Amino acid sequence: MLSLQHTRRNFLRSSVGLAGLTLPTFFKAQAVSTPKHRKAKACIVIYTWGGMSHYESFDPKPEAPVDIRGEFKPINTATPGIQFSEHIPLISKHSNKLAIVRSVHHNNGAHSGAVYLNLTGHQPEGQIKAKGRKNWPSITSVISHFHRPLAGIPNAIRMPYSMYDNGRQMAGESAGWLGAKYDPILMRTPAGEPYGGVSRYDDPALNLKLNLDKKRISDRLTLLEQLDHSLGQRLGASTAYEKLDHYRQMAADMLLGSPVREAYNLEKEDHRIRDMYGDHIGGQSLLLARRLVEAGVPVVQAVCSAGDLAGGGGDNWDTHRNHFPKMKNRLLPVFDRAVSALLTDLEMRGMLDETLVVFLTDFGRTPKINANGGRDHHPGVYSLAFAGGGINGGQVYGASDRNGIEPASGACTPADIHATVFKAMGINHNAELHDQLDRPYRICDGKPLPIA
Amino acid sequence: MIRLLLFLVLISNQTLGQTADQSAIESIKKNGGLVLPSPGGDNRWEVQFQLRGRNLNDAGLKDVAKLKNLIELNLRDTKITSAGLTHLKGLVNLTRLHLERTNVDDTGIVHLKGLTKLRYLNLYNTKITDKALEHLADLKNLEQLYVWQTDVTTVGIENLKKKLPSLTIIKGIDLSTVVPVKKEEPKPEHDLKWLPDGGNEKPPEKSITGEFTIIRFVNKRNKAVKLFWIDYGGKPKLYGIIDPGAERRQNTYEDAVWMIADEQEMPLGYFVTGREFARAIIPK
Repeated sequence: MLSLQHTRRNFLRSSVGLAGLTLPTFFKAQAVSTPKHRKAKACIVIYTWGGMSHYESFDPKPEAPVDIRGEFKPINTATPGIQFSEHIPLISKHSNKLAIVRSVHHNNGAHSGAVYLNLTGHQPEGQIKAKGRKNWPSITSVISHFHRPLAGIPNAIRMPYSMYDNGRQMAGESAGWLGAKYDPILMRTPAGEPYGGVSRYDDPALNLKLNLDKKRISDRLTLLEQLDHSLGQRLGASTAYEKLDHYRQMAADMLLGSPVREAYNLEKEDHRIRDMYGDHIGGQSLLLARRLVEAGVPVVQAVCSAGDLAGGGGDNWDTHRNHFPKMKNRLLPVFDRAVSALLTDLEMRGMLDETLVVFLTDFGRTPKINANGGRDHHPGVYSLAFAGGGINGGQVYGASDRNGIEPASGACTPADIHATVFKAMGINHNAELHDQLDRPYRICDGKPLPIA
Repeated sequence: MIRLLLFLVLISNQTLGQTADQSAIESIKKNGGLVLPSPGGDNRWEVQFQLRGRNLNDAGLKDVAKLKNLIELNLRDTKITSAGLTHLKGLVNLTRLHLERTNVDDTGIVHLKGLTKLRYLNLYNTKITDKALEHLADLKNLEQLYVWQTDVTTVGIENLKKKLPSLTIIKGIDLSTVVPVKKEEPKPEHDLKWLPDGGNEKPPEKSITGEFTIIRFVNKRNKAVKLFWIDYGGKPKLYGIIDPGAERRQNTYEDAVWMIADEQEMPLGYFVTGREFARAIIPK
């Protein structure tokens, strides 16, 4: 648990301002003479469910005592002065596209609260229920509210699974008080070796592989419309009914040949591109994300992990046991290949400057390695990253202390990360949105980080 | 008085401009184009054809050409050709132009010479060569140029870079160099213990989840067997049939219970998985 003192100290640090600029940031700031104010048109959220260790990814601590720094070594990246952990060698070649934030922190050590906080940008209040309409909307829902797609294209898509902790679905992935219209549609990634462990499909997932011919779909729709008409007259329109209607219309639009259906067919992609992303659901999900963005979907969330944390078993980032072998053999290779492929692909297609890629996770992992060779939950400090969408790459914002325990400079919160995303997407982070009862809410309490 | 007249002339000019824009916008929309106001206001436009307007052809570009204050234009995946690009000549305010994945070749690029405000030009997966790049040498504001999947060579790129040193040219990767991930199938390290049905050693009642692993079933019986996974609630779930003498590779998790039954679904025995890749030999 964090003591009050720590929190206060962090608060003081966060108000230091310029101290948040590390050396590489400082040089970068000097080098860029004409800041580009281009705004992103689409956003891809990559979520490493369970809490990705900052030590073994973007914030290695080679100076720390051996029982803290762990087994992995740091490696140089394409950016002088920035090092990553050794098992993301492909991503490290893209450091010039990445803005790493090493000073995010919060005080919520439980997955349920942490995923809610990282996806909505707000602290959970009272009992939060999965898909609850009193919840704050997910960042994907808020983005899609401001970046509306063409008719027939979903507002937001998430894949390949919903996030669960031991059978309990997490709150934070839905639109909350913004209403069902902005709930991201859950989509099954149609290819790739699945993550080991437990993944659940209790939510209705959209599976476009259905091989119905268009004529039959239209026939069924006509029939449904007639039914609806008579039903509607008898029942009157209810909210639940409208919600159902929204989903059905969307599913129908997609089945009947919107660009989304085409995007979903990964068989149409060059097989070498598919190989580049890796024949794993982690890689194929990010490939699908790119194809969906091309098809006009404004925001896509990909969970790069098994769906259920299942007590730390399986391929998720909740590495309480066997942390090092699991990171090295199961988690990082898929993540490394998938993410570097996405950045390469977006860049060579000329999509990177208009597509914001943001990496989110629950929290970091403890400095101490436990008796099971694992690292436990550590919200005291952790690392996140941004790429594309007008973000200046090749920089690190903020720093953790020598042992990676708490922020040493530039302390910031998930709310600040959200403000940064909103700014990059051309959304005023102080904007007000209204819930179903027309009550106003300010979407974000944070401040954008100066990384764009 | 003169001031007032001047004012009226200005107003009417602007109104005329807007009406012309409106009729062009209507035509663009008919062709499936999406017209968005571009940031910066004052009738600045962005037009996209790549989603709903992929049937756009060269004739359709005439309507686009009427929108003089066009800032961004996306023609990705449309049916336009080099000949159609002549209509873009007057669009001198364009800063961003997408021509990727079209039939455009070197002969079309010459029409872009006067578009000196261009900052972004996307030509990936077109038929252009180094010759096209020569026509771009006067685009002093060009910052990003995309030439992946074209016949543009490093020589052509170097030559253009000499004239436009601040230009970033993205050639992308050569896809023939992509090496698929080699999946090294681990070798089975040991055999799982066969627990015959009704024997002394009972299997657990249900599977518990653990780390991912693989088992290879080998059926040494002279009859086919049915393979069931005992789920987390203790219920058997049919996974398939293994023919006599056949093998089956099965993804599973540590601490899973697998039941082998005969074709009448009478249990023969069980395997309980461990963490390592193992063989599960179904005895004669």
